[in-house]
Amino acid sequence: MPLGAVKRLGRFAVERARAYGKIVQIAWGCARALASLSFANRAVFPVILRQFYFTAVQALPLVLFSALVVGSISVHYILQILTDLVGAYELVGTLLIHAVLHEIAPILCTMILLVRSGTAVISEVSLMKINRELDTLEHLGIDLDHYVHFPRVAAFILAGPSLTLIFSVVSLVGSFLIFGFRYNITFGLYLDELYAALTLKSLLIVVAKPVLMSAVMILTALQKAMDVEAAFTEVPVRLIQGLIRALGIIIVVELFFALL
Amino acid sequence: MDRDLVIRFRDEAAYLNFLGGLRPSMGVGVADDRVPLLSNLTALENILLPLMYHRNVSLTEAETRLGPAIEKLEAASFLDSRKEDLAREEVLASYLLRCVAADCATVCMPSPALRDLRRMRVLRRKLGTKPKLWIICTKEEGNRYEETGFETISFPEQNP
Repeated sequence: MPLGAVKRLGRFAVERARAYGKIVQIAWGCARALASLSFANRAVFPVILRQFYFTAVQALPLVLFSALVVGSISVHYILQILTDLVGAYELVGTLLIHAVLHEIAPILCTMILLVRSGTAVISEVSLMKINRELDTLEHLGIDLDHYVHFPRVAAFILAGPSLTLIFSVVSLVGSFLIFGFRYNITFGLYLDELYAALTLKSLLIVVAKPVLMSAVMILTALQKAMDVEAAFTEVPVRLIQGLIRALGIIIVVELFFALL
Repeated sequence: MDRDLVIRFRDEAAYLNFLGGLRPSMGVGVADDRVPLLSNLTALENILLPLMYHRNVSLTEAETRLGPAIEKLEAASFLDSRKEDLAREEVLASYLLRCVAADCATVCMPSPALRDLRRMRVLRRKLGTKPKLWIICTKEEGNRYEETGFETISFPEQNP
């Protein structure tokens, strides 16, 4: 292997290791902030609320709309295949729970969070760094893990499963109310099938998957934002890098759950 | 240090090193754009942030504690504004109030413009409690501040 390629490979490995090291450092800082009950601090708590509002509450209309559209399409096809073509009514619940709760809802909600709030966090924190606002916090003796990192991580970790659960309910119930009349299955029977297919494992997945995806996404976003040095031109570059890396890690999490 | 001072540094590195080491926990706050207000908070939230964080008090309680100082500086009119909407004098008043909220006995201004310095002295006079004022600068800038009449000390040639 030529020396240049080895150098490039080495540099790539070192940079990656440094980036993941920084992610672990931020995660550890957030864990310490949680352990020291920093959320109970009256300067920190409003930041958590504000971040949760931006991340979860303001994303609700988009999540509800996506749930109805994507849910309707998925439920429409699954019902069509199972009731009209195969006549397998007993599989309706299992298949819908698998498709919507395990796959569509967590991935779509994470994507919405990534595009809507992940980008906002990278821009906001990197601009805070460039404008020396992080220096202000340090000067005032305010721990960045408590005031900057933890509120955002907490908001994402709470928003991920909350939005996924809302998406799932709206998608499963709303889509039947839109398209259900076309199929030879009553609403009561439809709900019974869903209820019968709902297991503890499904509920664990619908919480654990978005928690993990949201956590890695926000940690990656924060790492990229803190990577910015001093130039405004770095912001879009870090933004794109952050999005792509977060997307990559989300795929890895998805594969991990697929193998479970 | 219980008096107003002009502190001159031999070189930029020593000056920046000293500035970087200043903390409100040492009783010295910095009133300068190098330690700017946060843009996602109002002026009031910026001013009260150190008090709320270190004493774990609510915004209302912190505002009550700092009420007299806010009143003396006639700052109530701009407390709900973000930093982008503040006039220069209001920004300086916010810096001063933030130092007061952080219990700083001394306010440090690194290489201030003479106009800012005059404004800060007026604000300090209004405040009455008179926190000490330190002007830090490099040796080359030292003569700019002769008109203040503050005692001048030099680093590292002489310890204060």
